[in-house]
Amino acid sequence: MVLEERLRGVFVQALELEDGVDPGVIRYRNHPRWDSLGHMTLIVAMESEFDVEIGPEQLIEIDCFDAAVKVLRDVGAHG
Amino acid sequence: MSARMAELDGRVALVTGATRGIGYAVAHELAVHGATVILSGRDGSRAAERARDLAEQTGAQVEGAVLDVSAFDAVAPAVSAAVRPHGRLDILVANAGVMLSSPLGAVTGADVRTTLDTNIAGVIATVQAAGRLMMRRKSGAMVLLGSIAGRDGSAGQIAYSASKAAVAGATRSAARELGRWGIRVNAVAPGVIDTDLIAGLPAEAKERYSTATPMGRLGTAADVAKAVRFLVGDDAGFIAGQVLGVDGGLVL
Repeated sequence: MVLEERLRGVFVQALELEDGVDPGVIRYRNHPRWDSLGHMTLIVAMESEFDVEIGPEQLIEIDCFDAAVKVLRDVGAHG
Repeated sequence: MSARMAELDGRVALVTGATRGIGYAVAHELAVHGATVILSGRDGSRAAERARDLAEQTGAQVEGAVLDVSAFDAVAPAVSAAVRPHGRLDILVANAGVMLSSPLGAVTGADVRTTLDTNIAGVIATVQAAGRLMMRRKSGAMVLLGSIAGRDGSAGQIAYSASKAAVAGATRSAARELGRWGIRVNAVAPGVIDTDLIAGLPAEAKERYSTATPMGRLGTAADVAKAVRFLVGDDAGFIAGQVLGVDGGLVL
């Protein structure tokens, strides 16, 4: 499974996204479930799924799905 | 060793500011009760030396780690590196702190910044770093070191008192945020504890504090350590966001 597909699953599960909500279009703080607490849930879920550590500065960069993909690639995550 | 003595068996604990005083007593208490302890301090060689001492005394696994909590951005990497070999972190005791005494009329900006950088920014950085690690397991317990001065104030210690009042607020906020991950955050607020921090006080001043304490004595580091051990243990499993006074009933 490619990284993006796995990450979509992480978004859906961590943010408890309803059916039909595309993780690729939501943004941090522009979706009711992606608030500051949801953000930490998402980060921890990403770290667990891809066995990586996401630093504080990278954590802030993740404000959308594409940014999350970039950070994961930067920290060496594999699909 | 009794079953009670092993209540923290298998758990990994990080204690900051643990090379002496209350921090060392806490590390000792947790080690005696079965925890693997990461004993940290600003001076890495001192921390390693104290860790060896504690391991010899208790037979527990104790490791030293260098951690200067006043360097906010360096805290997370240092905590992560210290914990990584164990693969988990179950307990954090955020004890590292400074106590600079200056009357209001003489306190300097440097005094205030030094105190706040270590006593509250450092605590927040440590809680943030430990919280990230605990979230992965959806469990954990933290105890932050406050002070009776944070509740009642203390003449001549305005920056210290303010920093410890902030610790109480941080405790409650962190408890609210981290509870959803099964992480409990509490604080202890020691009264006057007989450690080297007050070694320079005149005997009359110590006597005055003893007299003002209903229990009729100064506290010991072990008194505080036992309270911390209770709060991080399973017996405190539904206690969160609390600041527990360990002060012998002292009223300033």
